[in-house]
Amino acid sequence: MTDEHEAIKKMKRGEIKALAFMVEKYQQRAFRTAVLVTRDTALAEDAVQASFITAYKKIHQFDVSKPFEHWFLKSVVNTALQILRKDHRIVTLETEDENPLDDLTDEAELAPQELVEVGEQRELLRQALDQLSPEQRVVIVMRFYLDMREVEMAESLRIPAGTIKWRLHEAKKRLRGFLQISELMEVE
Amino acid sequence: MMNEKEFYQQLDRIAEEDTPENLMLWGNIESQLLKENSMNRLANRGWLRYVVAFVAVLLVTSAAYAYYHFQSGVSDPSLPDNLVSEVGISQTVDDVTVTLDWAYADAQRIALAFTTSYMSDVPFLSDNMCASCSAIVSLETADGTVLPPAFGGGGGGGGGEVPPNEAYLISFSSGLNFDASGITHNSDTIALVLSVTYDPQNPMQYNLGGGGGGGSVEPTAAPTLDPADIPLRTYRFEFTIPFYQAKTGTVDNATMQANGINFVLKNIQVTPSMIRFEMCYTLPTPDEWYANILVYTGSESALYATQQIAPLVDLDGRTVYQAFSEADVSFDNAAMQACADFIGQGPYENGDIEIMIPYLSKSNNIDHLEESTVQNDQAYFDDLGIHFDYRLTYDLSEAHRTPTGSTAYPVGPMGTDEWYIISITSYPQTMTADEAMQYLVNNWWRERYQTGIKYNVHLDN
Repeated sequence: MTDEHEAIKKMKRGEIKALAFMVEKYQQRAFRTAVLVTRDTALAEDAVQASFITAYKKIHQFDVSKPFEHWFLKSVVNTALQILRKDHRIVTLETEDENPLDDLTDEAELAPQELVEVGEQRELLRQALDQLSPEQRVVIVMRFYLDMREVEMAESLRIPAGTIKWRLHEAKKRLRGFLQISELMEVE
Repeated sequence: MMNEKEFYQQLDRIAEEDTPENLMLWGNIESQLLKENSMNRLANRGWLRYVVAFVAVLLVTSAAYAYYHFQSGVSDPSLPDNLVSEVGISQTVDDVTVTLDWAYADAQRIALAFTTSYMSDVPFLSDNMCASCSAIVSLETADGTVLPPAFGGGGGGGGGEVPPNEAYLISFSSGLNFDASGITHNSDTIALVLSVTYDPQNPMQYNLGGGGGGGSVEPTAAPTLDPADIPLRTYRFEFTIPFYQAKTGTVDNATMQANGINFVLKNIQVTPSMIRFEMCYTLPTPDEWYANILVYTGSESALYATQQIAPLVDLDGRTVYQAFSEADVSFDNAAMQACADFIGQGPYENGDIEIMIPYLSKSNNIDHLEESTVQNDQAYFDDLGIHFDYRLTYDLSEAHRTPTGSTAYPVGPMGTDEWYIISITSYPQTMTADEAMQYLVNNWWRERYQTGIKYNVHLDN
C-alpha cells in the first residue's frame, strides 16, 4: 500500500494528521490550479485550504480505486469559482461585454506566431487570462491544464455539455484575439 | 505556432510564477479543522446551538492611522430593504466594541448583522484565512428558545495598502440568518437576545486574516500574543424589532398526478423575505430529475421561477425574478421519488397564486447530438415564442467565424466535430434578443418530462 493510500485510509478513520501528507503532496499543484482560475493569490489560497478541508470531510465519498489528485483538483476548481462568485468578481460569459480585441480573431489579420518570443508570449497569455471571465478561465484550466475531457468538465461543473463546449470555444476565441495565434484554436 | 503541449507549459510557468516558493498551508488547515472539531463538540452539548460567524475585513488607510472597516448594510438581495430595522446599539468590553447594526424578523427567517471594532498594533495578515477571526453567536427569543442558523451568511472582503508600524482600527462585520420557522409567535414585534462571544482560543488579535484579496499588505512580523492571555469577551444585546407573520397557503388538492408523475405539495408559507414550500414527486426514471417551478402571482408584474428555467424570458410582460431554487433535493432512486424544500423570493401578496410545474428536467451529458434532439429543442422553444434555425457543419473554422452575438451561436456536442450554427429568427417582443439567446443557452439539451401540473394556492393571513 502506498503512503497516499495509507493517508487516505487514515483520513477515512478521522485522523486529521493524515491530511498533512496530502497537503504536502498536492498543495503546489492545487495552488497553481487555483491561481490560474482566480488570478489572485489570496483567493487561490482560500480556495486550496477550503478544498483540503472539504476533501477531509468528504473523504468517505472518495473512490480509492481512482486517482485522488483528479478528484481533488476538480474540487479546487469548483471552490475557486465559488469563491470568485462570493467575491463578486465573476461576470457570466453570456452577459460579458465583447472585448474589442475579439476583432483580431479574423484569421486574415493574425500576425505570425514566430514574431512573438516565448517570454513575451507568456506575458501576453497572462494578460489574456486576466481578461477572461472566471467561467472562461475555468474551462481553459480544466481542459488544457488539468487535461480533462469536456464531458468530465460538464459533470464536474454541473452545467450542460453543450455549454462547456461553447465556453471553450469562446475562451479560445478570446485568447486567440489577445495572443494573435491561430494554432490554439485547433486544439480540441 | 503554439500547440497544446506548449500552451500547457506556458500555463504552468504562469502558475509557477504566481505561486509562493515556500507554500505552507498545513498550519492554517489544521487549525481550522481543530477549531471546527472544537465547535462541533460544543454544539453537541445540546444546551445551546451556536453559529460561528466568519467575518471578513476591508481595510482602508488614512494619514493618521490605518483602519479596517467593512461597510455593513442590507446586502442580502432577498431581504426587503424597507422592512429591515436599523438597530445601532453597541457594547464595549476591553476596548473591543461590537455593534448590532440591523435586524429583520419574519415567521421564517431572522437576519441580522453586527460589526466588531478595536484598535490593534497587530498588522493585517493577508495570507491567513479570515476563518480565524470568528465569533460564537447565538440568538434566542425572550422565552429562551434558541434559533438555529440557516440560509448561510457571512461578510464580504476587500484589500488595500497598510503602512507598517502604525496603529490599526480594525472593524469587520458579519451577516447571519436564523431559521424562525420553528417558533410560534403571534405578535407584530419580537424581543430577541443576541450573544456574541469571542473565544480565547480564537482571539481576534491572533492570526487575524482578511477575506478579500487585492491588498498588498506585507506585515513585518506575525502576531505573537498568547491566546491564553486574551480574555473571553461576551456581548449580549436585547432588542425588539417588527415581526412579520407568514401567510399560509392552502390548496384544494395537495396530491396531483400528471403524465404518470405524482406530486404532493405541502407547508406553503409566504413571508416578506421568502416563499417556502415542500414538494415531493415521483421520478420518471431513476435519475436526478429536478422540478422546474413557476410561481405566478396575482400581480401583473411578477413571475418567479426556478433557476433551471432561468427565464429571462418574459413572455407575458411580467418582471421575472430568478431567486427561486430548491434546497437540498433528496433523491430516493429506489423509491423513485424526490423531495425538496423550495425557497424563493416573494410574493408577499394577498389573494391567490399559482404554482406550476410545467416539466421535470435533467441534464444531458452527451457525446453525440442527434439532430432529433435539436429538433425537439426547436419545438420546445417554438412554444415559448423563440424561433431559431440551425445548420450542421463539420467545419470548425466556419463555427469560429460565426459572429458572436445575440442572434447566432455555434454549439456542438462533446467528442465530435459537429457544430450546429444556431440562429434566432424571431423572439417575443417582451424580451431582447440577448435575453432570448440567454434563455436558449441556459435551456438547450435538457431532457424534459412534461407534467403541466398547476396548483392554485390561496394565501391567508
